[in-house]
Amino acid sequence: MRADLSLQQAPPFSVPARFLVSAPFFGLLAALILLWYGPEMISHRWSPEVLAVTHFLTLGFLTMSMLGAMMQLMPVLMGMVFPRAVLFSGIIHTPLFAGILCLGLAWLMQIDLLFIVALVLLGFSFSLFIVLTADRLLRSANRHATRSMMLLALLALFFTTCLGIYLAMGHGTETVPLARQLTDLHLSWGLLGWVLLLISAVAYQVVPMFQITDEYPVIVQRWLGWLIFIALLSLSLTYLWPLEIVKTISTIVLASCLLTFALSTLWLLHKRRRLLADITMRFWQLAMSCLLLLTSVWGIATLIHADLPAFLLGVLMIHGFAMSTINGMMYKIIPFIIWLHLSVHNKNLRGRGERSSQVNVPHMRKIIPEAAALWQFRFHLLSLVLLLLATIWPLWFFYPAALLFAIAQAFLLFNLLKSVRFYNKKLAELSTFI
Amino acid sequence: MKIKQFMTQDHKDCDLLFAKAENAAAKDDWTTASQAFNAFVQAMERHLGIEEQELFPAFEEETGVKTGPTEMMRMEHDQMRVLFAEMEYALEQKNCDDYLGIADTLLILMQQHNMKEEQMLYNMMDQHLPNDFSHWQKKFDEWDED
Repeated sequence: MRADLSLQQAPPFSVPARFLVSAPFFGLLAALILLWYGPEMISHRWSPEVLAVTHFLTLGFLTMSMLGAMMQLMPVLMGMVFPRAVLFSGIIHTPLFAGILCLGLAWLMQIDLLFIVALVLLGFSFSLFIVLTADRLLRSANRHATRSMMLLALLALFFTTCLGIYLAMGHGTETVPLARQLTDLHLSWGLLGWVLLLISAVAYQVVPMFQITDEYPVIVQRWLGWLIFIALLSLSLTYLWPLEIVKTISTIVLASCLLTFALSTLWLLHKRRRLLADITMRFWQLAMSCLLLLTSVWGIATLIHADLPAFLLGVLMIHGFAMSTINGMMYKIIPFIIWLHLSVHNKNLRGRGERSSQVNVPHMRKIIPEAAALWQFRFHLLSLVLLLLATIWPLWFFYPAALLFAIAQAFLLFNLLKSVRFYNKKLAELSTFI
Repeated sequence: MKIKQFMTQDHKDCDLLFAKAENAAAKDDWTTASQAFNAFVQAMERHLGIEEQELFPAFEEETGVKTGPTEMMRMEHDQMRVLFAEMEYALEQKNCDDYLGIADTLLILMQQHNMKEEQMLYNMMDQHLPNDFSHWQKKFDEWDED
């Protein structure tokens, strides 16, 4: 029993793995749709193909991996355990996976019924996750800023889901009008609420720990999340009472928060004690540089009343900031949990005196080699640059960007699947002795 | 000063030694790496030893809980010691890739362990054990003398 203790808090490998491996699958699917439909699809913001690709990325890549990472990290970060984790993760993952596929196909094939199926599946998956996780978080004895930030992120996910369901009903039924004006609010709650709040909540803990840096300033940890949340709430209220001054102040507050988070993270990384630039550090730097660029471009364009290419900010936020951060984190989470599970299985055998039957537990860089991760990072970076160029000159850069994006996602999927295969192989070696 | 502050600071001191050894190994400077690694392991053994022989028994006696968080922490200490040994071997072999790979693994194990202590266990200890900084400082000094 004693040997299993360190796994009491860590869920079984399949729990986070199913979410994390699904993410690049949707990333690849999004890239293939770009290749299939070509540059005409981005001729306007509301094209069904654009909406399908956006949701394959925001739900399929980002939200999918964020739920998986939460299930893995929350026992460690918050000292809380999900009961019956395998069953729970299955009940969340399956409708989430199917719901995202249905939503994308509903747009691509223009089948109204699929919108209804998608919103039932996604609504079920998110409600269950939000209720159970919020309940666990509220009961956690941990009082770190991460806890309240995670609760705010869950609330933001709830608002995003409600707005999303309402919008999907506009697409899928004739009784509900399509409320296009709410789209910006839906994506603000999704990207600046759910995604940014959760990433910053995790960053407060993992950046100082894994790169050996100073802590984030206490004022940032304590107030940034609340400011973002309050600014988003104020912004939402302007849809009911259109007060221009509230809208302007909320937007300035949001931009300042993004800038503060990006700059403080880049500063901490610059002053880190661990000089080794590992792959996750590169992804963090890239992500924060994109956030900085996004805020600067957005701020300058607003000040001089210039029109930006329609998809520039979206590419910077989704691909440049959020996907980069998560991609980098995957290279820490997956190899470590494989190592941890194999080590504990090995220790079990040692505890039973079966030393000869142990397998050799490799360190993290043998599970996903640094060179493989580095090449995938290069393809990711190149695809980002090309996607940005494609938002300005689509006829020139659209196909190379989509192709590089497909390669980067396929590479990530390959790296993750290979590590899962490796784990299964080692586990099979072990089970022959048990 | 409370146990939490004192022990958290010691975690950070150990982290710096870890980083120093890793930085040197990444540059193939094996002499510096070896010195820094030895200083790191020594500091870690002192930290783990004080926990296992002083803090944990005091906490277990005070609360009557012997199979809870302290047992888990002891198990993670053992996992870390296995990695110390593997790192030492890689250091002797001057195998940069292995050293950095094992160090990466240790860093995550160590940090998630530290987090559990700093955010949960030390708070519990501060509630149950004497808040006497000099008492725990003395234990560290005695350890150094041994």
